[in-house]
Amino acid sequence: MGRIGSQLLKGTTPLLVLSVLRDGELYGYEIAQRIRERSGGAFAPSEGSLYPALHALEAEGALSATWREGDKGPRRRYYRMTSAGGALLAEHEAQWNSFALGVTRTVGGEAGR
Amino acid sequence: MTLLLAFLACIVLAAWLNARLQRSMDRAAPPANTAGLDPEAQEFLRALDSNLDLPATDRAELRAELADHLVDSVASLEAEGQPEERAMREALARLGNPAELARQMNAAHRSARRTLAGAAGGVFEVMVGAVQGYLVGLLLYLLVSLGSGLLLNSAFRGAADSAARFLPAISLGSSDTSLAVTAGLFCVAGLAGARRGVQTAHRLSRRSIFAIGRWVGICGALVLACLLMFVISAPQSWLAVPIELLIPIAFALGALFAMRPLPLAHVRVPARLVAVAAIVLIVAVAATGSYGSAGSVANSYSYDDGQQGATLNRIAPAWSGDVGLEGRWGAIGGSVVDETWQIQDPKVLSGLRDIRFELWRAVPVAGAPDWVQAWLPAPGYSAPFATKPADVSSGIFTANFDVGHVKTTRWLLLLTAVAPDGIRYRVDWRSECPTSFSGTIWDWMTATN
Repeated sequence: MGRIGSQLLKGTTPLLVLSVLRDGELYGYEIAQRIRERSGGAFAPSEGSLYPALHALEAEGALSATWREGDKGPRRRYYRMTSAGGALLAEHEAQWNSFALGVTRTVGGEAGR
Repeated sequence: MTLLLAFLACIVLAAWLNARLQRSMDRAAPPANTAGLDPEAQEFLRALDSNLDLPATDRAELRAELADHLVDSVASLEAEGQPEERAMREALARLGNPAELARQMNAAHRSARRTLAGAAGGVFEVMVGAVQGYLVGLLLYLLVSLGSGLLLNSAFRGAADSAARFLPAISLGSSDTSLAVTAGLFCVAGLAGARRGVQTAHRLSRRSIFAIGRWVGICGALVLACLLMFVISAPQSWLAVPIELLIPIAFALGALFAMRPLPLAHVRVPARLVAVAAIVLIVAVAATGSYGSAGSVANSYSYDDGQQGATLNRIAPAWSGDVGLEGRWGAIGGSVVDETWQIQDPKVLSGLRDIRFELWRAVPVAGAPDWVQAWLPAPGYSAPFATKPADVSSGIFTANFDVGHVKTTRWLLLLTAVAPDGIRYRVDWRSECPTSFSGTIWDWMTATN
């Protein structure tokens, strides 16, 4: 699979972050690793844009963060999705599905139908 | 009563909300784990921190979080077989440019919710700080006053006598002194309130403290200046007005002092210019408000008014002899002088012409007892500040002046006339009790002296 455009990744970073946090709390590096794993190695958001996205979601109230000792070792800043984050995730998923369907139909043309 | 209780309830609720929000922001961040990082990584974190425009707590948290991330990233890359030095470079490259990362973090920490919280919290803290500053200033004033009194009387008087003597003077000082002290206390309140408000707004909104301080200082000072100049009506005096004009300046300085570190290199010269201008203003206003030197000695003109003779005194800034002890108790509103006279035998004035009422600025007679309302025309003024012709045909005539736009608070009302020798003399007079000038600073500045 070819390299995914950075602008496309940048716009979907909040959706990717909220998706991996649906199952539980993770810290920053774990979030990046989880996204890479779930995408099958197809892409991974730039770590330089991951942390701004995490902090922006926290500022909006979609995530809450606490410092605590991890299961595997030293303390890390763990992020957890809030109820507001759940609603935001549902909204982003709906937008993405609509967008993806539209793009697929447009790109596919006669052959894509 | 209901409104008062509702107001107090709002104050308590606002204080509780503000304290709760402050506690949520006052979390302690763990120190950044930079011990295992090489100099290149530490330099990255330093460059990031220098570009962050966030409260210290947020910056500390971010440094710690990214330091932990670098440790994990390097460990992961090393597990994949990369050498340590290359792994660190790769990990830093993935984070990107520290200045760009800091810019994105600054933007990420700001939201409409936090901006609103910063604005509301800042306004609340301005009020809290103003009250605190006022009370602290009042306490300092009382301590200084008491201390100076004790110091002057420590040789021969007991502490109790000194306190008993000077405490009444503190609470019952002259009106000019009280107004000036009140204005000074509001200067302290403005400085404390601005400082506290800017710091709180910065912490809650996550916006640059320099931007907040600049806008709060400029806008707050302008709003205060407009309110004081054109809206707020209060007793004014020569001493209080210059100090009141310092209130907006004190507010702006409070916003400046909230910024840490202080941009000293940029404000040293302007601050000195403001201080010099303030001193010159106070001295100039005080000098122009003072009275001039005494005038010449009066001479007299005798005439027959049917009452065993009488003497008319020439109008002069300083009179000798008959200063009169008659006065009227109580202010009459400070804006209108309304006087009625009745002459027993109007024919006695037939030899006199151009009879008129005159208002002269007055000063109290030095050494007169407090219960005596005795006044002299103020030295340095050779003419009345207002006149009205008097119609003496009926024997009863009135004087009605509007002195609301005049700064002087004490005056003599005279009945004068020109004698056959062509000189104007005083026929009779009344003295009024002092009143205070009440209005805005603009009213004061545009009023006549």
